[in-house]
Amino acid sequence: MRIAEKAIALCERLGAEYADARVERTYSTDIRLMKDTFDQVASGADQGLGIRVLYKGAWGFGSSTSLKPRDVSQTVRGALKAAKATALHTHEKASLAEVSAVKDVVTATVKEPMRSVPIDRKMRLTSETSEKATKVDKRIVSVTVTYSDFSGETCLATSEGTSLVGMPSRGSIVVVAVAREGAKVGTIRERNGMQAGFELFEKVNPLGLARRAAERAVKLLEAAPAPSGRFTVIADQKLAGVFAHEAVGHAAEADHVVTGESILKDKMGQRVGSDLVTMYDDSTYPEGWGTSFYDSEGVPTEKRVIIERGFLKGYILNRETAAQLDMKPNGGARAQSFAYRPVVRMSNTYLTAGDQNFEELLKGVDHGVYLKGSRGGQVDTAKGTFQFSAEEGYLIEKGQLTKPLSDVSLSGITLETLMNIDGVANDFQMSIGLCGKAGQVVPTGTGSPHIRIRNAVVGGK
Amino acid sequence: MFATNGVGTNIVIEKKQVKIGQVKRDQGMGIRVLIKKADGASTGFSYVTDFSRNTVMEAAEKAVSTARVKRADKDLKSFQEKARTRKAADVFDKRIPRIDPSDLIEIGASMLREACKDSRVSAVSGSVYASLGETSVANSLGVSVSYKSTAFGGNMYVVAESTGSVGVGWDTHSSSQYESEKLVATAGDAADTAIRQLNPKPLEPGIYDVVVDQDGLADLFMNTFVQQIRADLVQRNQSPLTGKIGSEVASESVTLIDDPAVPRALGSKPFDSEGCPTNSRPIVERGVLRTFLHNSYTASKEGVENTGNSLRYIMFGTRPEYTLEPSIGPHNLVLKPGMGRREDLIREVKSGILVRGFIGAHTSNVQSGDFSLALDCVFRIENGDLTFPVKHAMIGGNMPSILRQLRLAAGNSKQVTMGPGMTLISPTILIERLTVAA
Repeated sequence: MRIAEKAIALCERLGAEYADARVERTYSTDIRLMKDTFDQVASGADQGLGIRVLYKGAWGFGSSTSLKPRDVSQTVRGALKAAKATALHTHEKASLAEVSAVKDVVTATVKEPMRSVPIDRKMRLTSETSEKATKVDKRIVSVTVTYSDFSGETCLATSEGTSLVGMPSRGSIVVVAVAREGAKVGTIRERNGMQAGFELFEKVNPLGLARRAAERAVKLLEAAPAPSGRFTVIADQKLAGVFAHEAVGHAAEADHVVTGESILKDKMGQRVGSDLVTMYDDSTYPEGWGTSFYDSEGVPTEKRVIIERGFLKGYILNRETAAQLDMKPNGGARAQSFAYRPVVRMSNTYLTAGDQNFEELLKGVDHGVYLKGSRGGQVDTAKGTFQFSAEEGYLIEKGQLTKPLSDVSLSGITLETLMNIDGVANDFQMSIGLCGKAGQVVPTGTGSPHIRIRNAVVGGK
Repeated sequence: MFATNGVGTNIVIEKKQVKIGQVKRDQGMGIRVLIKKADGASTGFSYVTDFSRNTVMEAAEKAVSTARVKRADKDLKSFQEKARTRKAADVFDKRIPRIDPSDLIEIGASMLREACKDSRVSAVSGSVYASLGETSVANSLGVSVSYKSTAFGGNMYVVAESTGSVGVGWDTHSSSQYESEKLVATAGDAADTAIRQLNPKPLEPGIYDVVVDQDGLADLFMNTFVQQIRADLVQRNQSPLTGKIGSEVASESVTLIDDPAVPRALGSKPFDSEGCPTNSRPIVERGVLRTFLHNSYTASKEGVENTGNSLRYIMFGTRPEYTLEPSIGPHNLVLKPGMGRREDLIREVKSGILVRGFIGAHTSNVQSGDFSLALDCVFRIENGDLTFPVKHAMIGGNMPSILRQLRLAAGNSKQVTMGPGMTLISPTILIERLTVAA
């Protein structure tokens, strides 16, 4: 904190109207086991300073992994130089919506600190997970397990008097199982993680993930190529959560709104989805993968209503976009680490549960497609179009799941799709993910119950 | 020990103005240890960004304890031995250390002026960067080498709007040299494409000859072919090219060289990330596959010469090299150019399309080379003329078969870089008879 405060003082002496400094010392472990071979086991120690300054309405940013006084001073001067040069070419001056200064210490609840656990225990956990998946079926030909943990100390100081110390700790495990029979290949990924100490791996249940990934991969071997065309679709919690995050959540990020690159601009208070659609971006979600008490600008975070019963109610804001849109900041700025500037980001984004059960959703479908999991996809937030590949699918005939399907994708126009949601189940589930934007990756949670979408475009191979 | 130490300056352009100037200083060191065991050897790895004695010692101990627990690998023998390295290609521009954020901002302002000449241009974003750094490798077998390099470049993304229609254009430039004029020119090209993309028409699905510009080709190559010539993936039986050395894998017009000594190129370097001297070598010669890319481990496992292609990178991400253990990749993959101009290549096409880029190349299946991609910035070619911009088009295909359908290359080589191990120097090319869906 002393380094951060010194950096802020230097910024002020050099004429900055606002400055914030983040100093971090963090530790990480990354283990990847591929087909019984550890192809990566890396222990990392990162430290550094990130300094952001506002000068005459223009931004400058500097970062350094060296914390020697001379390097810190050069970094601060570099950030100021950048801001001063930017100021000569900025016609729209940036300003920050007001917030009160906070002083706080936030510590993750940790029983067994990540750093106190020897590497061999982490490696053993990884190999046991892999063995579990391999043993499920002899058709499992390849299993890759990735273990990651992250912990350390972070601090944030601003020229407005905010001073925050954080002690983050999180860990996750990802299992990718590949089954093969003849020329048929099925690949499934399962992952889970939490913000806690090493004890989190008991709750996360790596062996359960391993078994599920392997069983689903084997199941895919029976799958037939999917039909193409317009169908009634039921999306599972994972796919619907990815849709909420990618197609809707990104469009609710206020930086996209102010640059005009969002389908949700000028739509505040208007209907954007059916009555059944309520969506939050919730930084306060208990034990959420994207949960934090404060954002990277030191603003207390919130449970942000994005859509309530079909009507657009809010955006995700940082201080600058809040000022531009004349709204109250809601703690939506996040940075991957000290080496990056904070940008508007999601935290835990989810569609809320309804009161039907899964069978009731199914009953209403005479001929449709059930889509499970996500292999990623593409979204154009400006045009409002999306395309996601599901991990697996099933044909729905007369309210029953029948044939398994492979290589199936869901595409459409985001706002049309939100209007066509006509069924929401009561089986809400959260998943973890990593979200990339502006060259930065942050942990995010996504969630949803099963949802039913009428008249959706399904693509086969 | 693999270490880098660098300073990078960049500016971000958003909403037709310079949004932020940034200066990033980054130093770090990756430490790898090898422990010999009765039935082989094991390695351990850790990295630090703080070079104080305590932190480095702690990291070294972690690396050793990892190596102790890892099961021995019988194919793992040793690290790189000391060897003579060549003189480096010219990859250091003396002007770059003197560059200030204000110089980049001036360039950014010129790019904005260039991009905004037409009133239909509605949004402009992009970036300009300049960086310099030193890379060092040392080990207990006597390797101790280092080199300095610089990088300069940027990109421009332009949106044009007119009577309800939206057109998008973009362009990139990268070099080890401070080539500000070439970078500014990308802004004009991006704006020109965006305007010409206005009022697109749908394309009849069917079979077309497809002309692909360099940026698109690089994206496709890096996500498919490059991952298939890595010896580590070949040895794990994860490449469709396994066992294909000496066979024809592409049309006769394809010659691909991995060249670590191309002047101005960002992938040029005298030694790889384990300290092995690099050398220029053909990967595909007139359609015939000549070699895979090796690092010290894969070479000793197979008992072949180490090609010096140890690089530290991950496919989709921007982690500093020192945080990663050695992987494998090309330095600069050079696709041999043809003779004519790009326009001449387009003239050859009776019924086809011109494509600048692909969307979703990273979703390609590396193992099989299969891909299904949306096309970006597409124009229809009819009887050698660009006739109209095309709305939504997709291609499905397979990298091995595309290499066989590749018929002609223009002479307009351009360097496209997507990070370490991801530099392709290629001309615009013509792929014959691809199935295009609307």
